Amino acid sequence: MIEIKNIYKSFDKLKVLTGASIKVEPHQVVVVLGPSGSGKTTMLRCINFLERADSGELTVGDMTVDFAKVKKKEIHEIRKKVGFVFQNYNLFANKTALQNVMHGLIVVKKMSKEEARKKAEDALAWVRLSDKVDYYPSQLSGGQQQRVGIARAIALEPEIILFDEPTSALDPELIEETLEVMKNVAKRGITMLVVTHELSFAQDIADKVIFMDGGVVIEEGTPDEIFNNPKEERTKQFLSRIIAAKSFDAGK
Amino acid sequence: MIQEKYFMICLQAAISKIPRNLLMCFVTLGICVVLGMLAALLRTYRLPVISKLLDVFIALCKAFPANLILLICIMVYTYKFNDFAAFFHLKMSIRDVNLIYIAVIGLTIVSFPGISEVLRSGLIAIPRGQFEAGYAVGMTAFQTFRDIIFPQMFRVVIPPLTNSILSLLKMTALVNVMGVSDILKSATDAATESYAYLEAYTAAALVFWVLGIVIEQISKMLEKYFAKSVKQIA
Repeated sequence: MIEIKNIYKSFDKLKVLTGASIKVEPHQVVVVLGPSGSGKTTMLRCINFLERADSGELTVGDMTVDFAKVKKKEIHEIRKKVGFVFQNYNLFANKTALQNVMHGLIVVKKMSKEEARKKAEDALAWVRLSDKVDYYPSQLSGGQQQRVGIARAIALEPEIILFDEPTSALDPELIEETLEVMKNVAKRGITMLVVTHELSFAQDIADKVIFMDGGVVIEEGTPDEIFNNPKEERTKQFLSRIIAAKSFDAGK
Repeated sequence: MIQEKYFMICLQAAISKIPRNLLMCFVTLGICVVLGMLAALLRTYRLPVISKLLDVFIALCKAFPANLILLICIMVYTYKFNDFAAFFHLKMSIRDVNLIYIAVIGLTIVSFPGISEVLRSGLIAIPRGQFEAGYAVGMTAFQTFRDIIFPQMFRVVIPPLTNSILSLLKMTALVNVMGVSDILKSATDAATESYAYLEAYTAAALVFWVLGIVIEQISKMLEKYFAKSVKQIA
């Protein structure tokens, strides 16, 4: 379970998060939607302390910390419980696909090399990359790199995996393969918090959809509630704009 | 013009000092890399007071000519060593210290800024995402640096660091200003009787040339080895 209460974050004078609160239950898939600059990525990064929130409260599993006075050790503990999939994949450039997945298992989970290798190979097979285990990131396509990124996160068996716009740096034809893998992650019952612009993913997979704008949560509900009966005016506006853009794309 | 007999004598004398020049070069390099890495990290992470001090110190070090620093070092050493030993209660006299160590100190002062800058350029060349990926996997800052950042950084700095090593090696020929016998000094010493100085200089040049080629080749091999992760299967 993961819960954020009243998170605030500003970069200098720019207020990015102004009291957003969200909650993700175990085995839930929660999708966060919202226009650029609404703070959704920043919020995700704050959960993993890649960004330091100014104030608020974070609960991950049995740990609760205050963003304003969190200790180094607690940050480290939380990071071990949370997986992260980056928009730009961020695979370790000096390591092969297999080593990328193995490394955390050895260094963080203290597994033996053989055990880690076995587990990493399984994870890569699961994202259908068994034939690419010895390739370096620079030798893989974007979609393949992102699948390695997902395998790396899954292998560590975190309590939740955060996805930060995992498909937005990908070519259209590579988006499908990545979404497919993410759907399989969801089917495995792994708790996911996903920031994305892929409405179809939200519609098909999400248990809950959260709409953010201006640093706060505007509306949340089931995909059906959000997509078919949005209550807030801003949600309606946002959805109609995205859908218009999509159908324009499709019409081309 | 060049007489082979004298040339061979000088060459032999020059070759006999190769270990000494290499020792000075690589001991200095080792110290510079450790200190330079520390300085680069401090300056990159911008610790308030220390990084400012380092900036000033490095700017100063950069400005001095190498032989001037060596001369200052040997002067300070000859006039002040006994006071220094007394202050730290060392039971050493000035004769117990090998001048090579003083030369290493001088060379370190001269090469430290350059090497530190080379390492810093390597450090800032690594995308932020690599650090973040390490943290996100659950590694500590130290583990991330050791396993992810440093290996990538090393690859980036091999070519400029090779330059630094080469100029450091050439600088070891300056230590004769402080009375340390090196490749060049030893070759010219061997020529004093015969006045075959051209032979002596040529012999010393040949030795430095070969050393330079060897270092360059080693660097190329390292570069190739570390490039495997960035090579595309074109």
